[in-house]
Amino acid sequence: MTASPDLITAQITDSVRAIVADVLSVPADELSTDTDLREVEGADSIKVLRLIARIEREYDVELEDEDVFGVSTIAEVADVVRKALDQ
Amino acid sequence: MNGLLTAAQLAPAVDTYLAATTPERRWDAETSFAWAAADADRLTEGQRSAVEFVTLIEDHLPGYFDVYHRHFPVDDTVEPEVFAHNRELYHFTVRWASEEDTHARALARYQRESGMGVPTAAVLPRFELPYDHPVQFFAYALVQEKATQIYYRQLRAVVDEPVLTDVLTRLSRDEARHFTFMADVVARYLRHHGDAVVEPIRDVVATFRMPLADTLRGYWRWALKIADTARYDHTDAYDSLIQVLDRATAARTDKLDELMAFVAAARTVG
Ligand SMILES: [Fe+2]
Ligand SMILES: [Fe+2]
Repeated sequence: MTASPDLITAQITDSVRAIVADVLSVPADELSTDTDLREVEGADSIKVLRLIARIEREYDVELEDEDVFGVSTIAEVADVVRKALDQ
Repeated sequence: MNGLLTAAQLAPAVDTYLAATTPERRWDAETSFAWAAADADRLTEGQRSAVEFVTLIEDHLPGYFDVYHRHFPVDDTVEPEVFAHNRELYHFTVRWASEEDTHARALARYQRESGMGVPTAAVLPRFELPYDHPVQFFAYALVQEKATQIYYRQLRAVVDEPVLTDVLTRLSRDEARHFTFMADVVARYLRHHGDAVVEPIRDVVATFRMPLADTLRGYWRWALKIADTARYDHTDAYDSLIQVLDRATAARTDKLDELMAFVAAARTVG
């Protein structure tokens, strides 16, 4: 059985949210999919890069620089991971 | 650019900086190190990678100085008072550039003499800092210089190779002096312009990007990787920035307190 595209995106979104919560030390339920990662209390560009590096490792993908520096929300991160997985 | 210090307000910081490097304290890449003893076999893979990384950072500095020349021009495109300020700043900038260039030379020479090979020059796109208040150029460099100083110290602590240790000692002392200048200038802005510079400084912290982060493909992965060899995190410099904010003026305001809390929150813990 193949998961529907929506389901896959939802799963990626959930795991991205969990990683963000872990790296930025905030409760996952306080993070909405359109939260700007750099606006999260205590976040900075390095932390955002660290969490993207971790997401890359977990999904075994290498994101384009444009995507890495272009994304600002959990939904956008999930989106570029999804795109990278499809390639 | 509005909100500039006057030449007279800037001059003491320049004087202090230039007075801090007496002729006896100066050094160069040609004669100050025992190059024949340099030996990269005593370095780990990660340490060699870190040397390549910092060589690239130091080598990138001409682009950095271009930013200063573009934003603080020393010609008749600016008003006489601005020219006077820029001319004063130039006394600093030109020495600073020379010191940073010496860093690039020393690290490149280290790579050759130690057997790491000849570093390849990377052609980089033009560097720009998206700032519109003068204090921002100094606040950014304050963080950068402190972060670099801390990184050289951390790297030196794990390296077991005397020549590289000597190089890193010289470099971190220079970065400490560069930081002191930037801290002095930022403090002067706070004293002379008060709350007007708080928002611009906040902006620097909020939008801080590692140098080269936007210019070199995949650079950020490398930066994070070498951070595993010795801690590299620009937010380590934020404690120093907070101290500068704290000591700059006796006239504490809510805005300044709020800025200090903001910087403290941006600091990576652990
Ligand atoms: Fe340097
Ligand atoms: Fe420096």
